[in-house]
Order: sequence, then C-alpha cells, then structure tokens
Amino acid sequence: MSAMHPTPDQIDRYRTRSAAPDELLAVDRHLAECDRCFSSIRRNSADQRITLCRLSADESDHLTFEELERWVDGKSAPVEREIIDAHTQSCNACRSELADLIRVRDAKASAASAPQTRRRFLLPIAAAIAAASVGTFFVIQRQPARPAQPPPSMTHRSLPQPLPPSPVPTLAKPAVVRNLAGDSSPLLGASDGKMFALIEPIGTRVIDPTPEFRWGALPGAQSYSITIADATSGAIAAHGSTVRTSWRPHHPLMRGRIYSWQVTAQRARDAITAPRPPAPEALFEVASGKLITEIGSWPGDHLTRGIRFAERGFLDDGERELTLARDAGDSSAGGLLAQVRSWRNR
Amino acid sequence: MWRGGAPREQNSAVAMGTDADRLLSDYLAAGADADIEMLLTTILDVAKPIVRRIVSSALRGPAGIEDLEDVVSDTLAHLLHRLRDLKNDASSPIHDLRGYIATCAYNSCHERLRERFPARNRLRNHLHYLLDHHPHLMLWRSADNRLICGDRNAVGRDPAPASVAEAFSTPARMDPAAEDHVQIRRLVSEILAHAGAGVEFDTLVDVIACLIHLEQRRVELPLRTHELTSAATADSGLELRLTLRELWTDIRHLSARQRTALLLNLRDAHSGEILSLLPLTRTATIDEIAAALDMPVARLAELWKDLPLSDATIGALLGASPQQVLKLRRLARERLRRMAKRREKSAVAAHREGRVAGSSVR
Repeated sequence: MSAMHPTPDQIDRYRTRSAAPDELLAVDRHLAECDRCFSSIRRNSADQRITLCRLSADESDHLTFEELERWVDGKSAPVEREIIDAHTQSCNACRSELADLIRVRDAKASAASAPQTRRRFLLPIAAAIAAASVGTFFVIQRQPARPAQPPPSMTHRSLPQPLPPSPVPTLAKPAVVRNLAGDSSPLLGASDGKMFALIEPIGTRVIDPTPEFRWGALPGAQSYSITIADATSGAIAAHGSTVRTSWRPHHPLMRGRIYSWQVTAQRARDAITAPRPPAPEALFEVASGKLITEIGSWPGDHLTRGIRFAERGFLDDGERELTLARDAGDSSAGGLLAQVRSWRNR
Repeated sequence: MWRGGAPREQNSAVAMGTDADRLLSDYLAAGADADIEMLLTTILDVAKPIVRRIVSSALRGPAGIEDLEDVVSDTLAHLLHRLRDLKNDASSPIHDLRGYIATCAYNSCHERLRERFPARNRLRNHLHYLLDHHPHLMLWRSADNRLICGDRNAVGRDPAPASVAEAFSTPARMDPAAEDHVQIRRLVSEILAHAGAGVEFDTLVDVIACLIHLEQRRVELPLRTHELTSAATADSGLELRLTLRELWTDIRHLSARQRTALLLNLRDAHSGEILSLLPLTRTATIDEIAAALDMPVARLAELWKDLPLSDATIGALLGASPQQVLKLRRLARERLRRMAKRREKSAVAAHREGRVAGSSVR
C-alpha cells in the first residue's frame, strides 16, 4: 500500500471506520507518510480544541467502605489498588478514612495479641513500643486528633505518657542506596536537544521483577530501545524497543540481582544514548524473595511502611508511603520524606 | 423468620418494578420532545415517594429536615441527569429502575451523613470493620435491604426494634473521637447481647455514638453535595477542553490502565467517537495508539470500527468491572485536568515574563 496510493473507496472506508483491519492499517501507514493522500482526508488540525464529553454522574467517586476494607486487608486486586491509590492522592476525605481504618486494623491486631486480662492498659504501650521500634534513629509522637476527656467518675492513671518528640527525626542512608546511587539526579540534561534523562528506577530497590522503566522524551525521537544488563556479569538480561517513554520487560528479572539500564533514542540517523559517560550507570536492584516475604509482614500504616521501605533502600515505595502519611497529617512524615528525597541528590 | 406477608409484598413490588421499567423503555423509545419531557416527569413522579421514604428513614436522627429536603432533591436531580445521559448514550443501561432509584437514594443519604458527620462516619467504618472480622458477629442484609448486625445465629431472624438497643445503658468512657477500640468492641458485644437479636447497623452506630459522647458536631457544607468534598469529585464532572496534541502528550503520563479506560471510550461533548481523529490529524498513527494501549496493533484494528467501546468491553480487556473502568476514566480525566491547569499556569507565567522582558527592552 505504501507504494500504491489507496483508492477513494479505501480512503472512504478508512474515514468511516468501516475498513477491514488489514486495510485499515495499510491505509493508516500510507497516510502517515503520503502528504498528497493525507491532504484529501485531513480533518481539523491537531491544535484545534476539542471538548471531551461529560462523565455520567452514575455513582459517587468516593471509595466505598468495602473498597477501603479490601485495601486495608491487602485483598485489593491490582486494578482496585490502582484506583484507590490514585483517588486517595487527591481526596482528603477518603485518605483520612483509609488512615482511620488502618488504625482500627492495627489496634485490633494489637488487642488480639495482648494478654486478655490486661489488654485494655497494654494497648497504648504496645502502640508506643511499635512506634518506637520503627527506626533505630527515629522517635515518633503522634498526637491524637482530639484529646480524650475522661468523665469525672473515671480516671486514667494507668495510661502511659506519650513518648517525647525527637527534635530532629533522622534516617540513616542505607548502604544499599549508597551502592546503587552514585549520582541519581537526572542523569543527563536535555538542554542541547541531544540528551534526555532517565527517570526511574535509579539507585533504588524495586519490588516488581518487571518494573516500569521511564525516561524523558527526546524531541523528534522516533523510537527508543532499552537494554538491561546484569551489573555484575554484564550479561544482557532484557531488551526491548518502544515508541513511548516507558517500557516493561516481558519476563521477570532475577530477584536479588543488581542491574544497570540504558536507553537509546533513534532520531533520524542519530542514536542517542542515556546515560553516557561521565554520568554514572543507572543501577537498581530487584528485591530478593526474602525481602518480599518480610515486606508482606509489615503493618499497613503509611508512616511505618514508608520508614521501613526507605531503610531497606526502596526509595520510590518509601517516598510514596511517606507522602501518604504526610498527607494524612503525620507531622514527622514531611521531614522524613525530605531526607529520603535528598538521598537521590547525593 | 420471614414475615407472612412478604411474598405478596414482593409480588406487588415486582409489579411496580415492571411498570417502572416499562415507563423507562417508553422514555428511551420516545422521539418527540414533548413525549420525552412528559415521560421524564412521570418517572420522577414515580421516583419521588420512593426516594422520600428511604431518605426519611435513613436520615432520621442526626440530620435535620433541611438535609432531608436537600438529599431528596439532589437524588432526583441526579436521576434526571442520569436519564438524560441514558437517552444520549445507552452503553450503561438501567435494568431495574426502582432498584436504581433506591440505590441512588441510599447512596445520597450515606454521602450526606459522611460529609455532615465525619466522626460518626469514622465510627461506622470502625464498627463495620470490627463486625466483618469478628469470629461470632456479622453483618447481613434483611429482606427489605436494611443492614443488620448480630450473632451469626440471628441471621434470617427479625431484628430487635430500635427502641430495645436504644434503651441499653452502661458506664462508658467519654471518647469523642472514637479512638478507644477496646471499649467500642466491648460495647458492641454488650448491646447485641442486651438486644438478644440482630440490630439494625445504623441503630448500633447511633447507640454507641451516644454512649461514648461521640463528637457529633455537624459540618456545614458551603456547596451542594455533588460539588464538594474533593477536587477529584468536582473536576471529573466538568468539561475538559484541550487540543488533540495536548491530549496525546498528556495521555502518555497516565498509567496503562487509565490510558486504556480513557482512549477506548474517548468521546466528545456530543458523545461522538474521537479517537479516530488522532490519525486523521496526524497526531498519532494507529500503531502508536496501539503501543500506548499496550495492545497488539492487529487487535486494535479489529476493535476500531466498534469505538467507542463500552465499559463492559474495556473491563474485559483490563480484567476490571465496568464500574472500575468508569473510575479509572475519572482518574484519568482528573489527571489530564491537572496537567491542563499546570500548562495554563506556565503559559500565563511565560506570557507575563515576555511582557516584562518586552517592556524592559523598550
């Protein structure tokens, strides 16, 4: 078809979406290259504004209790998890409900594990111990939303005092991040139009053995090819190409291994690679099975998970959880988030 | 133990449901504007008493009379909007109009209580979670669709009247934010033991709220229900205007699922299909669109003539329910809107900088 111009009938079928699949693709590919034919079908320009249809108001956008419950119990399917994670990033009400439900779940678990006779008084202690054990260098004070006022007839002499706040909560940069990072700021700038930046994963551990690789667009690039190599042996672990600025390997990478990756953009006759010397390699590690099992046993509150992710070198996951904790009102989370982010820039 | 009269009531409900569904199909088939408007009015007349009955029952207690009227009119407005949508786009049909009206009314009540009384909503979620994870207690739906809680042995039996649970009294710690989980757990067991049968779930919430002196301050709403609570809600219903080029650029920043939910159902303000405009304007080829959808191009070519796809079809491709597809699309729209706002802001800033630079040159 590229050599022969499509007939008026074929063009008409293409335009009215009645062409058979093979014909549709052949005409589409021809029109992408042939200005003469394209001018015969040309519709409004790509710069003309369109209005997308209004969405039907069929149901509330907010998360249902059942959705929140499944998330808290770790039973959400991937689609639902994506919906909940994305929604709670912009909806304060649902984020707050989710945080509440996590607290209920944790309190229930603490109550179930405490001896029956002293459960009532041990609960706050257990919570305090759990909070204190979150990080060696870190002490949390979580203020209750409203201080409970006991009625005159009751006292709460047995309740322990909350732990004092740490003046400067500190997280130590884990060795794995130092090993993986080098300089993990955007590896190459795009200032001269011959460079582009890798975005993620860089200098971090990842949970997913088929992580999504993302990079910035190179103006005019027609396609990108991605190569992932075992950082120790240099063996190619995965390779692929795409017209997009993200890609996932089709087969899982080996757990517990460190990999380096690079992207080569094809633009006309140029092949432009990032990163390239003197920039450091873009390294990441796929978490071992043992670490994955450990993560599965962590409590569900965002602050604890954020700290644990960060301490074990999962920078992206740590940042995500700490952001959620900060947005849910945890006063310590903002400082911790800044620290984790600063690790990327050294 | 079911009430003796239930089968007859059910038969009559079925008959009324059939009548309502017939009205709906007449409305969908109607062509003349006058007929359409008359049928819409008739459907709303059918809906009004159903909505009012449900809202009066669900909002008894903390909500005031103005809430009741608000929620009734919001629900009817929502129904009207949905019926008009349905006339233009039948891809998400209503199969049981009376059931749909009832669900809308329950949802509106829940949303209103959630907004007005956040502390009560937290307590309700807390109790719901507790009952769902309790070894002996549970929640179930009664024949008339009320949510009942109680011992597993009480399932299927008539619940205790609300007054029985409301008469329960015991010393309890003041807990205005419902944070004393141990006490709440104890109260649930004691109230249900006192009732000796299942209790309507919202009654249980109200009784515990009262015993622990739950903060019941009412949150005043500055806007109407469907306009508030989150940027997410507000944004997704609004019109979204952008160029095809901007759309195509921004879509690459969405997750793969959101891209699929949006692109395969891409429609303009008149519900017309517009994905095919991308190749017709050389914004993107079909190959590029398939790559963005993570879909073999041959598969996309097969689907091309059926665009825009229904949520059920997209759901089958994504392994998601039609409702989840709708939610993914809302999230995608919300993200596009944020990107459009950012673009607008930087354009304004660039324009200002240009003017400043221009004036300093002069």
